[in-house]
Amino acid sequence: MASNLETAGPKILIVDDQKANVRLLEHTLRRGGFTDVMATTDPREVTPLHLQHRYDLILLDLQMPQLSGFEVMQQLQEIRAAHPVAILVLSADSAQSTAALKEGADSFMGKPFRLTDVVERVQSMLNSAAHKGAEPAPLRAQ
Amino acid sequence: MTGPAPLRAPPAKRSKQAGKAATSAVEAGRRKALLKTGALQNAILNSANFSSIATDEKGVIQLFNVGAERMLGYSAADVVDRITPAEISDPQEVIARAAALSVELGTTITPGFDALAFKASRGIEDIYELTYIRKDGTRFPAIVSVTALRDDELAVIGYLLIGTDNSARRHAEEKLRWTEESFRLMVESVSDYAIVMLDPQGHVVSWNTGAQRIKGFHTDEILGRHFATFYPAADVGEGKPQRDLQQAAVDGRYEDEGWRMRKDGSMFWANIVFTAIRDQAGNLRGFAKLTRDLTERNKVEAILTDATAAAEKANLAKSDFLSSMSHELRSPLNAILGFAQLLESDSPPPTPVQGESIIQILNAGWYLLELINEILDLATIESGKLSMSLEPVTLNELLLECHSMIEPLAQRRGIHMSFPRSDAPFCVNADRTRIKQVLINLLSNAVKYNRAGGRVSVDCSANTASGRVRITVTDTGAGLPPEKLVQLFQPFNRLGQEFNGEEGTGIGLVVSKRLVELMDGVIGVESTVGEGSVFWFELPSSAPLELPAAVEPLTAADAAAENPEGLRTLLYVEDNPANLQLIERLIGRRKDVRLLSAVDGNRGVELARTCLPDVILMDINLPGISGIEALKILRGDRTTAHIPVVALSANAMPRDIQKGMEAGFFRYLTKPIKVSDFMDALNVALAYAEENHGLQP
Repeated sequence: MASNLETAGPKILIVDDQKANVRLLEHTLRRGGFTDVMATTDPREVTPLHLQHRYDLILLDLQMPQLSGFEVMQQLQEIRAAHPVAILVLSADSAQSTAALKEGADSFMGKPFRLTDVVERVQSMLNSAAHKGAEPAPLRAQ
Repeated sequence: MTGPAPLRAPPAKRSKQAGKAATSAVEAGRRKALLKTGALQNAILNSANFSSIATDEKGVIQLFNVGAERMLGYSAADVVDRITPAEISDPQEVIARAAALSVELGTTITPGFDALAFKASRGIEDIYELTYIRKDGTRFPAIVSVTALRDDELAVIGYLLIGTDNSARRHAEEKLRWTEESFRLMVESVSDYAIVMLDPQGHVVSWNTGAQRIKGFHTDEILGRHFATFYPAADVGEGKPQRDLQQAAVDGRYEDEGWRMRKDGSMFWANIVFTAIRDQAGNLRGFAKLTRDLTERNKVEAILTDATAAAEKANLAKSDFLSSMSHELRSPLNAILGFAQLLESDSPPPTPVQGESIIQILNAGWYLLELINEILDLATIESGKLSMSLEPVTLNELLLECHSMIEPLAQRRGIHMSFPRSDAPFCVNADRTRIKQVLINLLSNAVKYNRAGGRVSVDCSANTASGRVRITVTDTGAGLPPEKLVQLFQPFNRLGQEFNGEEGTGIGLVVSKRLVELMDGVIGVESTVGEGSVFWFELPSSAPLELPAAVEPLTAADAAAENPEGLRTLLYVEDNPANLQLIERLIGRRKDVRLLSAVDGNRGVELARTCLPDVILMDINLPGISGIEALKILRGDRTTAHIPVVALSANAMPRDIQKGMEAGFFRYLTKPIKVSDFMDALNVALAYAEENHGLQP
């Protein structure tokens, strides 16, 4: 089930079948200043949830029993043009993480991670996603 | 002497007689024939290779030619009219021959000349072997041919004995007999193989020790039996034994592998080679059959194959196990470390005692993670999957980086560190990331296992003899006795340090050794107990990257490529400062391009997203994510997907280049950088970026 942790700012979804990881990331992101954080331990809910809530970023585990992170990305890929979202893969397997980049992940982090690194990475991905959304403004120094 | 005139007739005399008759032309042909006959007889009589002895009808020698003189050592005068040939023959043989002839012909023959000439006197052609005795008493084997000489009425008037020295033949025969005998003994004594001779029909005619051992039959049990005895009943029923022989007879040789039967009915797996034996006329005389019992060999081979397969499987299983174990361990560790981090920074903050406990959890957790990473590292190296990018690396900058990385640890421990001055530039051909890994490992060991307030000093020197650069890390720790030094480079061997409360995995040095060796280097240690240790490694030295001295004027092509609208941006993702410096110099010539740089893939991607450069230049072997991974991220991002990314890598193998092009690089340039190639690629990439500019959102 998804739980909503409320208020404005970028919308983030945490997907991990391990409750401990979900809690850890929720706390971390909240402390990092992100207020609109939701989470689910069931990967099958990701696409419907995204259609409903239009997340800016999804933190995605790769190894999950019901549906793997790869399958989640395939589903997202179909609706991503209309409903763009940045995907940060979190995995203990570096080979899988690399493969995830091909399947649509924007970035990845290894497990275990330093909490400060997660906050930094999420922040920077949201920043560049904001660029993406904005009108073409290629930086050109004069 | 009575009897006919001596047969000795000098040739000259015969010529004279022929000469008298020459007056008549009618007689010319006859004279010619006589001359010829005389010459022939003369040749025979004077031959030194045959002994020609003529006797009268009683056997008394009348003629004794040169050959006889030479062979027997008598002169003609010694024997003519004096003795019979029986007196120069072995008396025992003469007696034996007389006895044998008496039996053969059913009449009594007295030992003596009769024994030698009796057959010839009866008109029977006679050639026999006997031993002649020389004047000096020595003997030699001879073959003698005896012919009776008859007059016009066919009455015997004497005998001609022509003899040849048989020593050489005898010798050869003996040698052959000896060879045959040794060969027979050898064949018989062979016990590993059954060597069996068969007659043309397949009956056993000889049997050796090996045959007895393998098949269980004793020689006297098997001689004369058919070799089909050795085949399983089913094969015999199908006529296989006959077919096998037939095949050998046709092809000369036939090899077979299959089940054969022993005397006791048990089976063995055999290799059999039949060879047809033919005489000089090509008639089949029989077969040689060589049989090997392969049962044992097959067993050994099966065991070896199984063992090899098992070892390979175990090795694969080990790699897989280590790899999956390290991933499995990371997940729970993530929770442990994660929540400990949360607690550490909680509000309200933990009490000092709680804080102490949290720090213990975190230290142990990060240590465990380090251990897992090193095991995985070692497994990767040992499986041969580690890729190396060898290129010129300037040690000065690298040492500076290592210094700043290790300095905090050294300060906490109160260890003073000294690094070489940067005025002696050493350059090695190696993988930058990996040297750093080795050096950090040696440095952290030197700090951790030092005494309080100790020193660590790093030095570089050129080993001109080996063409290598040596880097030494000297500490003032306890030092190691020789017996412990040899254990240093073994995995998990911490030499008792595990009891001293010092963290460490015992894998670091093993990994370092493997890495240095992969870079064509050597690593070693010298130590003095009570004084400290010197760890060193050597890497192949390299010429430093040559930097273009000054800014040269722009070429026409470069000028044409200048963008009138303004400055273009090139992002260079590279961890090696030497390469960066080179590109900086090159770009310094271009008034139209500004250079940004990032030292690893992640930072490169971030910078690309924020600054959107026109062209990206990407090293492949980067710390953290590789250049290829970074490229994939850039390609997957709508904002950066259009930017041409040029690979610049020391991986110059065709396979690497192909892999790079498949990954989607715009161009693939190899190090060392060729300035003109680089400039060309840059111009093409800039032009491409310009064309595609309008298509971007």
